[in-house]
Amino acid sequence: MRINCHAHVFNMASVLTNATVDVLLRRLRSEGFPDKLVDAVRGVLEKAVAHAGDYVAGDRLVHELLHAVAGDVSLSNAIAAMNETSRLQVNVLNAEILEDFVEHAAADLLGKILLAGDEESDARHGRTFGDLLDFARIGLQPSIDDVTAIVMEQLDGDDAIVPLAMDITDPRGADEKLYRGQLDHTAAQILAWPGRVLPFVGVNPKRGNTFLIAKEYLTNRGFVGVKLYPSLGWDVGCDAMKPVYEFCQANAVPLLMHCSRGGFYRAGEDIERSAPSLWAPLLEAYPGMKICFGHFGGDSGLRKGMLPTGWTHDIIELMKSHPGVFADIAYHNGPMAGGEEEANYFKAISTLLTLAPCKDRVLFGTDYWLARMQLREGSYWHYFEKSLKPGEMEALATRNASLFLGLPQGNGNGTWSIQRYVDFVFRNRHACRSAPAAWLVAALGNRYRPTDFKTVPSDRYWSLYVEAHVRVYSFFRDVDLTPTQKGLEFAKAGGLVMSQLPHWSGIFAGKTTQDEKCSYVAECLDAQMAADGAVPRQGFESAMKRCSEIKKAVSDHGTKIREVAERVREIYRFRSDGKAPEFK
Amino acid sequence: MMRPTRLLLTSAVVLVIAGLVASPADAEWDLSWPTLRPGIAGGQEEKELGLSLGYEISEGYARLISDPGSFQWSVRARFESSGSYVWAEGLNPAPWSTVLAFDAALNMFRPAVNPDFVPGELPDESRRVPAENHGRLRLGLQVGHETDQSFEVHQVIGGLVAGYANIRTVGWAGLLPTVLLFGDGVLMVSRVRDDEVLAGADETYARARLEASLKHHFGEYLPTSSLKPLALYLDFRYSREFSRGEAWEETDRHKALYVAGGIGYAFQEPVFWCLRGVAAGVSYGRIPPVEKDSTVALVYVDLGAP
Repeated sequence: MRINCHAHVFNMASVLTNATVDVLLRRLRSEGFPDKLVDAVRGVLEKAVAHAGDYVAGDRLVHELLHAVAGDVSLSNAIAAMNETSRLQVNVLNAEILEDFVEHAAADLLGKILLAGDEESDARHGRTFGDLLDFARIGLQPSIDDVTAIVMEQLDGDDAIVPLAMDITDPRGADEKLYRGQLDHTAAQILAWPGRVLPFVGVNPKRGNTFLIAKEYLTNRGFVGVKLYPSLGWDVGCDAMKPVYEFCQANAVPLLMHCSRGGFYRAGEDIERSAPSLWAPLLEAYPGMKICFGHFGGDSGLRKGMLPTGWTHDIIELMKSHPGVFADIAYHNGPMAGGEEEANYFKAISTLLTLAPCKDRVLFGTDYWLARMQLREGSYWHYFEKSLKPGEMEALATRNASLFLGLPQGNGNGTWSIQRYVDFVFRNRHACRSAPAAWLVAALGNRYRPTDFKTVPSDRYWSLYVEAHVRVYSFFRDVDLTPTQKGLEFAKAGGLVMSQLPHWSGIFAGKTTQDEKCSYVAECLDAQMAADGAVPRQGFESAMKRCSEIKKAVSDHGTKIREVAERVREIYRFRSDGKAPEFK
Repeated sequence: MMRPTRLLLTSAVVLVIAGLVASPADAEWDLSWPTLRPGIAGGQEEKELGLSLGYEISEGYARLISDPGSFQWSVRARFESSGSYVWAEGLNPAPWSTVLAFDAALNMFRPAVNPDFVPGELPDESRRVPAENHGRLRLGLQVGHETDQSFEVHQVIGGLVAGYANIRTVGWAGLLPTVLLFGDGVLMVSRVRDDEVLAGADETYARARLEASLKHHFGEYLPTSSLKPLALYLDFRYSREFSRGEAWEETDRHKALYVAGGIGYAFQEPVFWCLRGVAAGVSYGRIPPVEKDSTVALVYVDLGAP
């Protein structure tokens, strides 16, 4: 199993407030995107704030961004001036719009714009207009589920990610619900991809109860580490962080801190709050505490010459005297420009992976989806796999990552937070949506009897945590199950097919008679969903259309109850949709 | 005095139009594009093939009359048209059919009152009022026009459908069959060529059809748990045409009876990977257009992926 130790799966809706829009836009400007384009993105983000949680907002907003660019000559020119790839992408956009824009969904148009370019050229061509569009598309996905699914689709079967939650919202209390929502939806990804999603909880001492929140999610919600982002305006040595450090040191919980001069920051002077030198006294005070310096101080420290410089140098010095110091190479896109600096970079990485103590302390990371501002996740992996020497990727992404995270070695149980992770998955084992990773199967076998664990494969997704499923089950239980079928447990009842239910008469009824019964079931189900507070999604406002769609499902003898429920979920929005899931 | 068929036609037209125009404020249209179906038509005796192009239009207009918490009255008007053109005219037995229908249905269903959703838990039964399910009453009227693809024969038809649908299969309520009664008539016929007018052949006539079916899970009363999925099935269908002429009636083609009965078993989980259920029974009689009565043993195997 290879692990991307530095990724993000929050969507914009889970972090966006009027206050955070500025932070995000500052990041875009610092990445080199033209001011006019950033202004266009501002318009989209402000709408996203207003429509947070809207099912269709993301696609529509990307569509609007495309419109804004196509309708503005000076903006198109500014994008074309970025680089040759961007110029070609704008040309594709304008040509498509002249041809028949309204016929295209935003995703189709994006596909055409991004069509050119394999993984190699994707890494080499620098930031383009298309990259920004795809970055916006991912960020504006309706849910954290969707953002996670996009990265997991690009990984190999057993590869894992460490999603770092970020508390970049207003920490003065008003946004705690939003932040907890981000954490809860991230925890749900553990159950969607058990053993392959190992999240870190964000800590921001400007939020008064930050330690209590972190402790809660580390203890009961499967989070395995702590993410720090001091450039958002706080001091790593402040008193509020002491209980965090004490807790992490005592339980071998790994920390990961943003450590480069890029990224998000509240104001210019806050950048220096991420300096690794500030950690020397802390590491003396909390010996053995595990801390990973994200981005290794920035890639420039490894590509400018034979010897590491700047913050990178400082981190290596800390590694020499503190066994818990790690660093990751997330968002190291500088070497991708090629030339001497690229050669220097990989020579430095090779050296680090050869010499103690650094050889066990350098981790692989990509900074998904923020790195999408330049390249796709798959391209990032491809670039490093191609450029590293044999065995180096295994050291970065498997050996060192396992050590940092405290995953079980041999027959061990792993560190405290990993054990809590295993417990969390076990408690919620009936809500899992895919098979667990091999290490988790073994860990569950060590802590519990192996037979106690079973997953619900994603194609049979049927969960008590999904309101649509529970509501549909209750409906069938009331009106269309025999007494014996009512006695089945929820999991098995979802697998009953229509031909097994009372409303089905098979060959012993005329088509019209069967049709009448199916109409009745469909119309009653529609009435029940309304009584349960569900509202039709866009496109299903017509009762006739809703009933017609449900009738199609209940008229097919092979449709399972859980499949009817999934169809219902597509047709209606329930009160709990968008709300954070609850776990055992 | 107005003939009964004319009265029926007039009533149907009035009701359909009234349904369309009355209080449209809270009603809704369900509009869709026509469906086109290219295909190949073949004749068993002619041994020839012809390309065909079929179409289907179905537009609806519905109103829900009741409050969501009570029995649901729904009123629906539909316009449906279908037909196909075959480039070998003799191979197209299906008429071009256009129907304007008006249905009123009463779903005797009262939704459950459920407590708020609690993730990870089924609703607390002590805190919910279960749904009431008493079946569905339906009354419908329709008028339509049928013609062949050469537009030489035109028929105006009109009729009604009334029925009761029941999906309960246990207890006394499970003994109530689903019953549908159809009555319609060919109200007017016109032909382009007079030489085709045969004595009695173009008389208007009426037809009636009854469908009744029952499914009862009698296995639920048996003590052995493995027998509980057993169900009894009964199916009764009768159709009769009126005023088709003596020659037609002498051959007994004006009425048809079909009776079937059987026992079925639905497995709670598929056996042999894909077997979900089996049913066996026997039927007697015929369903038009089949012209000869017969006794048939029925075996039904329900297969599907697990």
